[in-house]
Amino acid sequence: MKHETSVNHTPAIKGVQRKKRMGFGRIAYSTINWLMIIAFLTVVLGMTLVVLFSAFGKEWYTTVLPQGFTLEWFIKAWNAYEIGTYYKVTLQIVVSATVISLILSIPTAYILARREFPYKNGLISFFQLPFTLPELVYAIPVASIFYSIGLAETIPGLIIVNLIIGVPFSVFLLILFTESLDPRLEWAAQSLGANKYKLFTRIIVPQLVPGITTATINIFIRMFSTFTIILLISGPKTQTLPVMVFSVLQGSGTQPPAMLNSLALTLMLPLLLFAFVSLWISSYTQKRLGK
Amino acid sequence: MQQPAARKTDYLLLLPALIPIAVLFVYPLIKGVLLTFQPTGESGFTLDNYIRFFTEPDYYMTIFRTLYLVVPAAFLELLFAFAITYFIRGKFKGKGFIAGLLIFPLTLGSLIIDMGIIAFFKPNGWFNQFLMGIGIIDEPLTLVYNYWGAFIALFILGVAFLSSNLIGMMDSIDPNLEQAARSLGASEFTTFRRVFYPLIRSNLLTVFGLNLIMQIGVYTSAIIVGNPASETRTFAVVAFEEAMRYFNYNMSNTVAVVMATTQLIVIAIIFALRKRGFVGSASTFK
Amino acid sequence: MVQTFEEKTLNSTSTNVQIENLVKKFGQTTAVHEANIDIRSGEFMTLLGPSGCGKTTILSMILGIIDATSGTISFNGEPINHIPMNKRDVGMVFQNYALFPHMTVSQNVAFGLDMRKVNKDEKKKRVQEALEMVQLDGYGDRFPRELSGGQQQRVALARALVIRPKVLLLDEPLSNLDAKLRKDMRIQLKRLHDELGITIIYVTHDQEEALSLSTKVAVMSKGFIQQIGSPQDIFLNPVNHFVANFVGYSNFFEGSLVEEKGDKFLFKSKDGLQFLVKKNGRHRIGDNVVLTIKPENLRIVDKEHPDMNELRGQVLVSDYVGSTTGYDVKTENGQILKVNVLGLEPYPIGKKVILHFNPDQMLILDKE
Repeated sequence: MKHETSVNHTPAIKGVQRKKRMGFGRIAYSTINWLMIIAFLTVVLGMTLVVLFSAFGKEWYTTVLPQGFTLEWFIKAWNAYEIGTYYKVTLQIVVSATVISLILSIPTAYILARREFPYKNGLISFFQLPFTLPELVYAIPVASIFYSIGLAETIPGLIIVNLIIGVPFSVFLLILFTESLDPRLEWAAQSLGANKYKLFTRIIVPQLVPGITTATINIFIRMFSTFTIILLISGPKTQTLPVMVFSVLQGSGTQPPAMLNSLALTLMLPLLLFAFVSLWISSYTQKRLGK
Repeated sequence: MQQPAARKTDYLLLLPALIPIAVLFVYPLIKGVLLTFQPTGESGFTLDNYIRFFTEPDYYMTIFRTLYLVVPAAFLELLFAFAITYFIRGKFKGKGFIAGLLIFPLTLGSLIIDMGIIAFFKPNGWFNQFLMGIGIIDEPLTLVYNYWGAFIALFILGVAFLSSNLIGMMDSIDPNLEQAARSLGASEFTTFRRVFYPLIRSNLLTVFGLNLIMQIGVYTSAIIVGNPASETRTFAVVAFEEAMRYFNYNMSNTVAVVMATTQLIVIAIIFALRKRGFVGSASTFK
Repeated sequence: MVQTFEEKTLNSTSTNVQIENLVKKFGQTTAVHEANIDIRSGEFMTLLGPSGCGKTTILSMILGIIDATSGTISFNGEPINHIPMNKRDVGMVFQNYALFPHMTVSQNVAFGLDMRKVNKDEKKKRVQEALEMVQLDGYGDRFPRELSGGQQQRVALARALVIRPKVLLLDEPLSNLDAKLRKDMRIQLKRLHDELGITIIYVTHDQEEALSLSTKVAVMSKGFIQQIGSPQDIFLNPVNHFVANFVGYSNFFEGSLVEEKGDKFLFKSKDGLQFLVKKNGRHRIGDNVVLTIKPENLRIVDKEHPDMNELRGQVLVSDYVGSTTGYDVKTENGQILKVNVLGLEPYPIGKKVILHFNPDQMLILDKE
């Protein structure tokens, strides 16, 4: 892969600051842009806050803020929807699927990065198809197949299905990371007598740790949020959290908003957590790689 | 860098990843398409499913309903996201913060955004309260459980998605190019028109196309914040309904195939448009 | 297009540039301290210094990308501080050329003319002239990515010159070229300057470039101008330790001038060495100074005992590079001095030698 730096800043001209001389056109342009930014951010923040307040609020009908705050609704929601169980189930499924995906993808990624195959580029693009094509087209047949062989609505079934989400993306990421490794380290190891297994375990995988971590987080998040396929083969007790939340929301007319928003909150928290973790990891890896 | 050629044994290493993909993706994909040509529950070849699709309004209207919802939203999202990311490009105090908040909806995902929209835009929610409070409207606007609910959801997520890509792209155009143009006498607008835009156009189109395609597959928002019975009865809504309620996998797949075809047509159009401009790196080469 | 001397000086676009008390601060850090530079019309002025010295910041202010914190820049007496960047009429060649990748060579060169609404025929003629001037006639329809680095750089030059700018600015334009190309381009630049008589401001960290191309050099360090003068001035009479070091002097001795002895000073170094050194008119008894001598001017003499202006030493390293041999000699006071002799002399490693310092060739410098 060519290393084409996309930003070719002349190191010489540093500290370029946008000098805005204030003409009328410029003031109008700035104002409009700032208004757009503020409007968008206000809406987004507002939405988040409302969900929070509603989940933790007491009575809230037409006033600006709820009458008071309480954990009641949240606890009720937790129990009524058996959120704890669903967290467990979701984690089970996603963690297993992630681990399996990684194991399956590492050898393939390595071999694709390090060897010339006929139609290599075609192969690599092929691996990208599952996450570039819209899921719907193959999700439905997958569901029908699973139902016919009895894998639907089971935990192993859900784990297997998640592989189609984890493996391609993991291969894609790992190819990128492997290509950036220096092959000379591997040649040196081989010249010193390492066999394939030792090469992998002592040279390649340790170097790939940042790549593996990135891949793990990525596919974990993807699996967690994946919807279509899981929705189709989930059973009453064998669902991931997002799918469960969706099913409840579908018939939402009958539930008090506080309950629903609490439910949504239980979904928000892990997502926010993942976001922070992946941000932290990526900045940590960048520092370690000396970027 | 040229790598050594693959040996026979190396092909084995491809298998661990290839097998799940073949079984869970390629086979179902093919089967899915085949299913659309089979009558329900039997084998044999028929075009009935497609005939049904294009003759019954509930089905063929999905095309228009989806596009009517998604296309205007996509354009608006592009306008908005482009304007903002262009405005905040370069070194800018607080840029990281604004960028983070722009992309934030992506982290939350469509379910939570949908819930947030309901809570925020409902008749007695903050948005309506605010507008009534400052006297712009007398009656609350109905912005949820209809076209507008889904539209807003698409908009927020679309802007987030586009921004996440555009921010990087804005900075990938070598600032020296703009400085060169200005030093040669170009105004800021001319610089944008003749230097910046031509260079960013091809990536812009790609990202726009990607977004449009993703949004064509809209499902959860159409159901939760929209009106899945009529206005926001998109491809995915009908496809899922056929599969989960009627167990008519043949019809369900037919809808999915039409959706995929629509998406392919979009790609083709974008591709053709792209070709008419400059495609390549916008950094200066040595 | 060879012009006579009169034509050159009467060239209406030839501009003089005055920089007065120019200061640039970025937050708390001062990148440029009170710079005062006077550039006469037709001058080839180089800002020379290591990275971070402020030379590019000054160039950026002249170009107009950044505003000065205080001070003025004037062209022919008119301050240009508040003129927007696209109205200053300067031609700029960037370090990475900044050619528009989506335009052909001709379109790139024509861009400035487009902005000035030059009519089609005139434009075509001038683009042709510009390309001929940089010997890229015939390359008009190529794209930048099809050109080599040297060719791209010449296109950048043509683009900057075709608009007949008041001043031509160049930011380390040769640093991305290999050694031979660099030499060729240097000759081209010099030729262009002679032919066109245009005022040029050039930024580089390469002292060889600066000394060979310029009519005047301003050496900078840490935001301060250390010395302004002709290349000979800078090279033969560096004013302080930094400048001397930058233009290739080594062998420095810190100390003070203790006595007058006729037309010479007696210098005493911090560690007790004594040298006679020719007076230079700038310094007096009592000054704390730095003494230096060029490696070429140090002589190895065959003696047993050192006299005045001579030091005992031992050869550490000998480096034969063809026409000269460079020696690292460790002297009795623990310093390692650099000596260059012509040809290959038989002073092997370990040999004990005596170094002779010619008082007329030692320079007195300010401490930096």
